[in-house]
Amino acid sequence: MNKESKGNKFKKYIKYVAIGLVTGAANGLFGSGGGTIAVPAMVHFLGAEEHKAHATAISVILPLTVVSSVFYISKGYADWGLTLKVTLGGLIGGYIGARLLNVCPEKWLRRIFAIFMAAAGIRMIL
Amino acid sequence: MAQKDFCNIHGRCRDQDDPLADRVRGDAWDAGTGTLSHFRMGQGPCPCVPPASHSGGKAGILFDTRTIILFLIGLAAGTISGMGMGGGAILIPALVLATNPEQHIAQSVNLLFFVPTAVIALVIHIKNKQIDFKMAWPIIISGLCGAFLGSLLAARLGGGQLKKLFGFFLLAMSIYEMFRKGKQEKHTKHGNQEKQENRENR
Repeated sequence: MNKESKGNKFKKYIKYVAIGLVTGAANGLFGSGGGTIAVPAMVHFLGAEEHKAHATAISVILPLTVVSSVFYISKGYADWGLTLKVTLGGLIGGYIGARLLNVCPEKWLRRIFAIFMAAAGIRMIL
Repeated sequence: MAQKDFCNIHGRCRDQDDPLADRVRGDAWDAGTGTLSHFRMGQGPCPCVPPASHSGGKAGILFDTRTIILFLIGLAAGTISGMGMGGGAILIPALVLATNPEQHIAQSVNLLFFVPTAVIALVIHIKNKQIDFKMAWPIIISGLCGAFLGSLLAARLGGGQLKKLFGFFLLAMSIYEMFRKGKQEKHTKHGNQEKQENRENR
């Protein structure tokens, strides 16, 4: 292995570490958003294919979420009743969403989704 | 139910001796809405007022209005994430704006909500060999450190501060979401395959 490729490898690992740190920190701090960061980061900085990046992101975020969850639970921030109710709806919604995917125009959904996020974000800041 | 024992954060009545009530007391007063959001332990009757749905609950704990709202929020967030878009970006603000739980609690709901769905998705992806473990490992290892630091910081922040910070994060994500559309449209050839992927993903 020559010097140059070693340097590249090092650079690549720095990228891995940076992506991991940022993804983990956001996921721990906000309890969400790991995927929003990890997927585009893998695509743009590591040259991953989009659908492989999606799948790989889940394998990354799951252990991070488990760590954050344990931390949140240990600090007394878990409400199991609330979680159960929301999760029940969420599981059914996940199924509906997967079915709807082929029916609804994704472009518009993304736009509505972004508007909701912006409005909610502003509301939470104020 | 005695009104003074009602906890707005947890949406149910709490035992006075609950250690949690004391621990999150710092977040009790919500200056934004002007309401007391948690039972104040050892400070006499709590002036917080239970929502109308809760006081009228003759149908029991399972089917009061609040439960239905929570279920619907989960349904909406699940539907969105089933379509391959971030579920937490919907779930957390919807929870906070509709039922006003403490910010840390809302975030923990999303974390816990993610675990079972991710496990199912992961099993499917491992079977389909869609996961690049070579790429995943170094990210997971540094990510675990990040997750610990992020959670630690979250625990240091008060509910109000964290809520604001989350608002900025949401705003940034929404700008990114609008921005990336043009890119996605270029890859319409992969569109169908990607959609199929996403469907299994989330």
